[in-house]
Amino acid sequence: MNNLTKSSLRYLIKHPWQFGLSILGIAMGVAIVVSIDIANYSSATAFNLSMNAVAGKATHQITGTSEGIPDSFYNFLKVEKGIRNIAPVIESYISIQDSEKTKTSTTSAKKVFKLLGVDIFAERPFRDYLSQTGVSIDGDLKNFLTKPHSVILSKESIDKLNKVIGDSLTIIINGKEKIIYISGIINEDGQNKSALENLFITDISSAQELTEKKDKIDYIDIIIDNDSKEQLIKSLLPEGFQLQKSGSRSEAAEQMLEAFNINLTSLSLLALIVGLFLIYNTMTFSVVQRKVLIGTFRSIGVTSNEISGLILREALIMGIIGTIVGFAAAYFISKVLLIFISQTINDLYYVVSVREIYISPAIIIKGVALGVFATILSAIKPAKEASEINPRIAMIRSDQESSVLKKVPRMTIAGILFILAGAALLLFPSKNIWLSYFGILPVIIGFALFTPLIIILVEKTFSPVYKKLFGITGKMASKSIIQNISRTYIAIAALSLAVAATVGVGTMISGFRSTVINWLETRLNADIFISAPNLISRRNDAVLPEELLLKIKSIDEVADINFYRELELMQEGKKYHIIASGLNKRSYAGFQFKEGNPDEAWKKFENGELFLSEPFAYRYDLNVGSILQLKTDNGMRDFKIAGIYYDYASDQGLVTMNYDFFRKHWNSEGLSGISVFAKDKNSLNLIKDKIETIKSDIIGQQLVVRTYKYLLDSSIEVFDRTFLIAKVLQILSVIVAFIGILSSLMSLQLERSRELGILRANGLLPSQLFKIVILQTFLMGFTASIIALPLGNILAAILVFIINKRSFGWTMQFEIIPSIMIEAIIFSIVAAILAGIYPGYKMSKTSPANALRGE
Amino acid sequence: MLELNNVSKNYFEGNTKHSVLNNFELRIAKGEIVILLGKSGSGKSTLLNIISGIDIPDSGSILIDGTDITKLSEKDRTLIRRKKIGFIFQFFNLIPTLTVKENLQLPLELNNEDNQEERIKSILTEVGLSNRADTYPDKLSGGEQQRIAIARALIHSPDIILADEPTGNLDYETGLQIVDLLDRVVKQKGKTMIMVTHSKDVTGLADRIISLKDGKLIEIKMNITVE
Repeated sequence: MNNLTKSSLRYLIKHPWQFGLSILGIAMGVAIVVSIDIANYSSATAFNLSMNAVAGKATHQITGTSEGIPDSFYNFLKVEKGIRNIAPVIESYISIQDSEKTKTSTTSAKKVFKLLGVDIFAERPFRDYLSQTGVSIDGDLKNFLTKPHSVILSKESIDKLNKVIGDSLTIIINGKEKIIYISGIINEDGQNKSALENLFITDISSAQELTEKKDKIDYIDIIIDNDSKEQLIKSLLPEGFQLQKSGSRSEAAEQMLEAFNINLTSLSLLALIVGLFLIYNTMTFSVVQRKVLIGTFRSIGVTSNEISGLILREALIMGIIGTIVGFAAAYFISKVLLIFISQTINDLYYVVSVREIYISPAIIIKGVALGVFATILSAIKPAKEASEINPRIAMIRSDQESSVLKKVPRMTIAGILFILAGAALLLFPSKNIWLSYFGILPVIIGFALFTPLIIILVEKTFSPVYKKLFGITGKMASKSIIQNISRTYIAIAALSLAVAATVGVGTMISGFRSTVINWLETRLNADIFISAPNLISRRNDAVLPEELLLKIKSIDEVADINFYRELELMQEGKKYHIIASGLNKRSYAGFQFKEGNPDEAWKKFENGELFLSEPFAYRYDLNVGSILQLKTDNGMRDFKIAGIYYDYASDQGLVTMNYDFFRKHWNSEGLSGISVFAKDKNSLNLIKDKIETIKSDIIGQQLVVRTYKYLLDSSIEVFDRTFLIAKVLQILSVIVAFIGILSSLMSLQLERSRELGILRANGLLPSQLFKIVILQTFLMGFTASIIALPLGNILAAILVFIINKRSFGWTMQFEIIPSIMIEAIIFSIVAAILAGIYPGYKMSKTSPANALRGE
Repeated sequence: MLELNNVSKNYFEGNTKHSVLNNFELRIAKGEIVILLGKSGSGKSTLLNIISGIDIPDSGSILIDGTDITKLSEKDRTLIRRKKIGFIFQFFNLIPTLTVKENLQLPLELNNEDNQEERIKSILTEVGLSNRADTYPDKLSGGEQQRIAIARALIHSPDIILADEPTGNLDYETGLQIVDLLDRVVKQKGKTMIMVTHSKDVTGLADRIISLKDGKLIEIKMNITVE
């Protein structure tokens, strides 16, 4: 190793806290980004594995109408047409109330599983775990085939439920309570182990009974190995039936999560950007600290490129170490994040049970690229500055702070240009979410470039105030920020970015929350809401019998009712969410229209035209008057759009139509929900009791009956849970920025030891030195907040009007919230002061003799 | 060996132009020791910077062994400085994170020179610090540091030694020791040196004493008392 490199490495070792903090900053940034990636990937993989475990070797699936496929059609294909390698399937979700008795309490939680109904004699080509290849099935197969409602499940599931073969289980399926019997265990040691963990397998006829699908099945699995077979199948399909590839459901699920994943990833990148500021901070410091040394190197013949290479190598070392530490931390953080993310996915999108962490090579490559290469990128400017250090520096001792001050006008102009560039990117008409995030970066850099100007303005304002309040120590505190501006401005910029992110995300969430609450209060205009128990909080996947409607309507205390039916359509690889509404006219006011005159729109709606929610219309570029094709039970049909309304129930968007017209095109029976208007608000409990009585008349029927207030509160709870991750990421970004401030102040302490020694030699007390540091950090925190407030609100506006719009298509409220801004100022100041305590203590302990001793 | 022809260098403070070197001419032969005197701000350090290629003049040429360094790129000037120039600073400027031995090894490494161990050992003996090879600079006294700095400036056998107030940061006694060392390792070995100094004790080394006034060279006779 040559002596230039040795000198560099020993410099790093000699300043362990400085570089340790930087490594910590990178590690945290990498950890957050990678852990989000791992959590997202693990959720998607768990879902795909469960899909694949179900799909097995099937290449295609035949899907039918909204009612499913008559099993007679399956028999037609298999027996009459002799088509081989086909199998009928019924798929449903079940929940089991799991009570755990401990010594002190009994806790209960709902566990969700997938029920797969299959024809065991047709299964062999499709699913290994039923064909005894590498798999064993314990138990009595005869029972499985002959005893109704028998299931086989994996060993992990049985252990989790604390059951044995022969036991019964009470389940909720499609809103109804049923009993099933465990007749066998699947022992599988392959990749499917985790996916099988949540799978219950039953015979197709038992599945038909449990799901009350009578003579229907959900779809037919098929293996197609040549084009002619595919053409033959297609030619035999009746109207409304489709042949689709097996992966389309997974693809549709991935699409649903795309915007959610991008936004989560971007928030995590924010932590990394703050971490990179830290690196830039540290490398700039280290260059400034070593100016004379670098000048000496240059004087004795080290070239500029060799100097910049030295700095970049130091950054590379920090990047590598930080990335390794970051990956280690990511593994643990992802386990925690996975709980939040899978909870949100279950709340909003689909049922998934995530047990394991999955890491792909792409995650590793991305983490390394971000940690190592981004670190080097952030060290390029300091390396360039180091290479430009004039060797004359070796011969003179004066400080070079004036060079930053001279650059302030240029930096300010550059800041304006960056902001304009960012604005151009953001305002460019596009639906691309990533373009929006690329537009934010120049805005952030632009504001960071304003930092020295703001520092100067704040100092000019506060210097006389500080002097008046605190005397000479006050003046010294404020002046020192300018005197050391080459160090302080980066630390202030990093803190301001973190605080701005807090303001931005906080303001956006607050605006969004207000929007959603206003919308809920307008839309939820009934008194009682009834549905079957659902597994996804914002979708009803179970149905209520239509007979329930008349019975509830006949309750004396009921003034009026609304009802609706939800239906998911798979169409051209996309999922469309249909809501068929039976609305009374008093509910019309609950719809706020973005496009379309309400009176005209409702008339058209009553005549079979559609309403689209704003996200749907945005996603598919549809307006009032456009035509939307939908796959009905009678084939593809055109529907005209009558209105576009604001709706925050689903980021995927909703297609709403009149219930009567829905039934003309789809044969789906049953209702997803009923809402009740009471004659008298005081009779709600009575109405609820009467509903309970009605429920008990329908065997096994489960109902969820909620008042307006309960539904409002639980909807907001889901909303808050969704944004919990964002808040966690914000906090982590602020921690990284805090590390930045701490690092800067520690460096300053080292830099100024001679100056401080002189001050002490001249009679300044340790307490006065400490006071100078605290006053200085107060001002640094305040300066950071001045930059953070406008930047934060701009970020909020970008999030509301551009990013959320492009991600989900929603219109949201935007307002500047004074409480958030006050909190930000306090937080910024407190963070800076806290970061100054230890360096202040160290500075106050500076020995005058040691500091004044020559080199 | 060293020629400065019509060299001019100006600095601007705001709109005011200061002429530091004004059609400056200087010839230094191989083995000459030249002392440069002048008031603060007269341009002495600027002259050293220009000779070493750290800075370039606004006009004129600087020839080192026939090569006009003003025509070279910054990188080429650095490479020439690496090979042909040895620098001694007022504040020693040793590399604090390298030991004495490593500080001496650095110029040899930069020039890809052989026999590094032997040469280090030899020069440490010459400067009287062979027992401090593994010591870090912060553990040395001022005088010891300057001796190592002189050793560093000489170890790669440069053509020209440039010394900027080599005794400026030392006490009188130590300064004398340094002068004595410079006499032994520079003058007696026939090396070329240009030294900026205020110390009259150093003038004894000089073959020539020159001064800068109004950007021009003034030859001063030998053995004049320096104020």
